[in-house]
Amino acid sequence: MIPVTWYYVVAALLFAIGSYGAVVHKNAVRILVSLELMFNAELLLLLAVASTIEAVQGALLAILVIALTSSEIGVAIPIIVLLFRLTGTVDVTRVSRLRG
Amino acid sequence: MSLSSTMLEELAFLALTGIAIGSAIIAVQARYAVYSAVALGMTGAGVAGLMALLGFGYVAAFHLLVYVGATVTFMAFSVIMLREQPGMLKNLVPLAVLSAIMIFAAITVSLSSMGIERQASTVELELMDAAKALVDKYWFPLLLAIVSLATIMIEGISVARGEET
Amino acid sequence: MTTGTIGRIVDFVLSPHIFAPLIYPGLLAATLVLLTLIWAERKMTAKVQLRYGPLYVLKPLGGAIQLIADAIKFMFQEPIMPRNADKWVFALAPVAMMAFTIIPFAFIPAAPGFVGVDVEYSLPLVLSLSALIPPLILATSWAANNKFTLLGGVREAFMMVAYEVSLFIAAFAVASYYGTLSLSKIVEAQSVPGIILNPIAAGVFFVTMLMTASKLPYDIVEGEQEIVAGPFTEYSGILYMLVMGASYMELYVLSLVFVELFLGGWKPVIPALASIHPAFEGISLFIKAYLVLLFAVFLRSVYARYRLDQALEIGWKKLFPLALLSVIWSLALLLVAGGA
Repeated sequence: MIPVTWYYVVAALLFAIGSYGAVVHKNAVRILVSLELMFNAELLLLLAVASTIEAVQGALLAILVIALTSSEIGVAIPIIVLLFRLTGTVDVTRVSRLRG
Repeated sequence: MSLSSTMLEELAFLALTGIAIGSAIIAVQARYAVYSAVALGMTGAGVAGLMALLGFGYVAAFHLLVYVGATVTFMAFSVIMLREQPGMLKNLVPLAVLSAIMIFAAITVSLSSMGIERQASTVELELMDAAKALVDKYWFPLLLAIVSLATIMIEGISVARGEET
Repeated sequence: MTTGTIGRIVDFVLSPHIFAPLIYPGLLAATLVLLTLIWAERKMTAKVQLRYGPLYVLKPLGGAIQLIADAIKFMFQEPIMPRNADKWVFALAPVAMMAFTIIPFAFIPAAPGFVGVDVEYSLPLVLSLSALIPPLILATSWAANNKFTLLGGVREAFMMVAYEVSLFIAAFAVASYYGTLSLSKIVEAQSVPGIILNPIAAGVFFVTMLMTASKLPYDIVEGEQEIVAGPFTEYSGILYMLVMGASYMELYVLSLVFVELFLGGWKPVIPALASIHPAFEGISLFIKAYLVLLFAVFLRSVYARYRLDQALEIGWKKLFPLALLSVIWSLALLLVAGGA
């Protein structure tokens, strides 16, 4: 058996890499990619903890979370597309003012 | 055979971790956004493998289907549609690395010191039990998920048609 | 002593974990299918068009080993790397594509109990592994540093949007009727072939199978007359063989799934033949899959190629409602017949 702390380390590493990407990038889609990396890490963490406590509920929660995150991306990407249509840029440092 | 099952498991774990973390590093520092999205797909595949190794096979298959199959292609596709605007906030890189290391240390230390140990047996998921639990006990989250997915479908259609709001 | 070691090696090779992914229906059988199927396609298309097709390589046999000659030619050709292309992605993406088309062989059962990795969820696993290919096509189209390959890659992304949902829903319609997601259990539960039980799902699955593998009339991605070779224009040599082979390999994997879902899998047509030898069931699966493949590639000589917007329209306006209808049909069958 692989000790579950190894899974914690992997999930934490993925989360850290995702957080680095979310801070450093300017392109809105790449920030979204980094956020999705963090989501993957959190999913792994959820299942790692669920394997020690209560497997069925953890699995159901994971399935619902995957479905809901897909719908969240389905909202975020059209927002970015509409932003691009309105302002011609997806650079987050240039759209930092709410106007009109 | 010289390969015992524990060694095979550890080998699989190392390989899948390598894929997941390697693709994650490629995703955050690739030069073009398309590679970033595709590397996210590879990370999703690696994480799905790790989930299957934990014993959650159905969740892993669902993750591959929904996330990698649909979502990542969606993102990669939309990246191509938007004009490429590379650029990183160079002055924030040391701070970001420092915060990443601190986040990693915080999560690892706090989880390891909680003392949650691994169960002796692997997880066995019965599909019918899970489905019954989903419909009987958790019908409300299921309903919310269905409503939100239907909303997304309608919203996607309306954005694709070019309506303003 | 010798018989012991040889016996152990033979046992090792014949065990399902090694035999299924590597020999049958895995790598060796897939290579065999690849070598003969493309030749059969070219011959059939030629006969329809009143010409001879490939004839030179082994003339008494009708040019049957033309593909081996092609493979040798490609292996000795120099793979040209465009100057400004991304070298790593350009070289590695076809390898990854081929790998992801070969991995599903470990999950497809060839005979009762004879499967590489026995999991309860082999159907969604096989389908989702084939859904991992289009992002790689997108990556390789970007890496080639060519506007036209990028156009081809975007076409592939459009096509994936068109077919993927209907493919999954049709497969899940069948799985929900049998109450299980495992391919071996679905085959064992088929007393009547699935194509009679749920013909709508069979039709939708077949058409989306053609769309997935980019076969005519849906080879919009690599249509020769329009876009040279789509996202694979810059490939030559062994990389070209890999990407072209990956498309046929995907068709082979999906036709194996089609046979197992709809045509009774490994059950021989005459039930008594199954008791002769267990290997006969594997052979009958292969024969059925090969017949489905021959039919799928024969459509190349019959239909004209669809435009991209026509394919998208078919995918969403015709196939998606049909797929939903097949789910309702399955549920109605479950209510009426009480399930399998």
